Amino acid sequence: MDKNTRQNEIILSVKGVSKAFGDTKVIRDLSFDVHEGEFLTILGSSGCGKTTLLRIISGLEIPDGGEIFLAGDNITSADPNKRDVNTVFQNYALFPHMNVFDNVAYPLKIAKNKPQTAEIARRVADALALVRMSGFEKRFPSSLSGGQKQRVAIARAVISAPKILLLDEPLGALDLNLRREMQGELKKLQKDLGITFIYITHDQEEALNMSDRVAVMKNGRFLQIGTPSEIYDSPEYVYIARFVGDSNILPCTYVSENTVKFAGTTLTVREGGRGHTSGDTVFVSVRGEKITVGANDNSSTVNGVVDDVSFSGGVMRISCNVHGTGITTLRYGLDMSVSAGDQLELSIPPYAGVICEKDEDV
Amino acid sequence: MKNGIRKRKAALSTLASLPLYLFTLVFVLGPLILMIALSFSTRDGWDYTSVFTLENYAEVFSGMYLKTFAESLELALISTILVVLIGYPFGLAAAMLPKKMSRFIYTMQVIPYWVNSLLRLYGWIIIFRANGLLDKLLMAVGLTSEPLKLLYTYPAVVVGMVYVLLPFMFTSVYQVAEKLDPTLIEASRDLGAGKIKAFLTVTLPLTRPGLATGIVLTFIPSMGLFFIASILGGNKVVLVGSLIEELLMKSHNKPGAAALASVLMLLTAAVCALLLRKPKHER
Repeated sequence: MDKNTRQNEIILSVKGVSKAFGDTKVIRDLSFDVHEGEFLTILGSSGCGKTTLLRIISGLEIPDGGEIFLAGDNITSADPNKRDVNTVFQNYALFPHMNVFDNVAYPLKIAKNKPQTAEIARRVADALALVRMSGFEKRFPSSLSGGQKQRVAIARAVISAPKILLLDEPLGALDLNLRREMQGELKKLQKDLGITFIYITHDQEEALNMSDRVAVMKNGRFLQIGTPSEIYDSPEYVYIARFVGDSNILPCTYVSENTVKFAGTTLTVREGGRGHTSGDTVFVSVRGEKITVGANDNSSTVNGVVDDVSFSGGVMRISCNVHGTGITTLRYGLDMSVSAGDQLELSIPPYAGVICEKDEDV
Repeated sequence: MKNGIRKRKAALSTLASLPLYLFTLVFVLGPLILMIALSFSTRDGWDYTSVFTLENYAEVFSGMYLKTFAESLELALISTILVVLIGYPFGLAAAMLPKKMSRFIYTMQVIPYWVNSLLRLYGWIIIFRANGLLDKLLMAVGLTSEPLKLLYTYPAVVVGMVYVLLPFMFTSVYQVAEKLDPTLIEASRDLGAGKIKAFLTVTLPLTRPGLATGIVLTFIPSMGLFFIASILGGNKVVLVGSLIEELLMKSHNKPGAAALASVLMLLTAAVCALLLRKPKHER
């Protein structure tokens, strides 16, 4: 989190919220704060409870326990229309019987103190300009493409200037190129508007690209919440290391603080997880791009046999077998000739790895 | 070459749909034209001659018939309004239930209608007649002290109408409401609409086609369902339908019956056209 965000006030506070559908606990005693103007992404695979959490914040579900505060007010059981929070739905949920103008004007037209017609027209024009959809006012949703519907849905959700915008996998239905383009636009839009975004996705690349903070969710809980680089460099759980980016998980024997043994070699690692005692089996996550080929003075070296070599873009992926553990190293540039069966020396620099927790208990 | 095949295919499909056109021509359009022609013919005792006259229509718009028309219209309106008030919320609520429940209710609603409606109407006689089921129940509870004698009254006819016509409304509303995406209502609530506003701005406009179909399917038959008025209303309630039947079967006034039927048809067609206009976003 950058310093700027940290100084901002807490806009949303979720305290010990839980929710079950029948016997299935979907949200388990979840607590977190969101700061004003922050872009928070909740990252998790399907079924982790992220959509339910979003619905609880928007008021479409009422939690079984816990409390939610929006700008200091307890909104735990307030109706969705009484919350200054708007949602961009996964399927956009544009009203099919209204044209683009009426869709975007909807929150203003139904408001208790409805602005004057000219004022509505002006604000709709502004909102459509913001999402680059000017000129589409008379079109009906059925004649728009996915990306255009997306933009209209965003314009409709921000026109009433809510305190928080909730986005439920808004890019999920778009193709890859458009998704990349929209990522940049959303990020820019969020900065321009200064509205707090809570964004849900199962796409780790999206999460790391756009967010101030990322919360990795599993089984109704946050495993870890932190800046993209914290999540990427110092995953607290094996699950996160695997889910986010390319990671090697090395089963090691714990020796002492910052020291573990892997395949007979001593590694200097960053401390993580909970307290361990000498002799425990721990898991160390090392990002593929940190491991280099060939001996290196400061690094610990292990020997492996090449299993497979592949290229994608300018990156070479060399998968090796080191005493039964698969290690993949990424090498930029295609300046080396290796093939399956070759013996290889791999160097793991000090503090490249971090001890993470197995998460069976979570 | 390819063009030739396409042409032959088009010709074949025209040929295949020919029976449909012929059927419509012979059994729908033909009788209709005959009826309209008949309505301009001159009555001649029990028969008619093909001499053009507007007298039949003059008769239709004369006092007696017009009164019957007005009464039919009134009963049709009352029945339709009641059917809307009961059928629309019921169909909507049934469609919003979980799938299994929803299907069950739909089926339960439809099954009784496999029995002929005349037979079911006789059931109402048992309920409505003096000292019938309803009277006994009301007196047992102590709400009334003597039989209400509801049979052969206007309310009995209205109940019969609503009973026979309700499933048309229920079914048409249900089928439209079932396709309504519940996220749209959630979106409306999320964007600031209260429950009533969300209903008025999203649910109602999007289920309007079902409501309109339901009204057409209720209103049109209710103008002509004379057997309900006969069975439950005795001969106290005379409807356009009964009048047409009477003119045709008792007075043997075929041109008069045809003129009355034509006016009724025009009226209902106008209602249809008004209600079944396509909404803007589907044009």
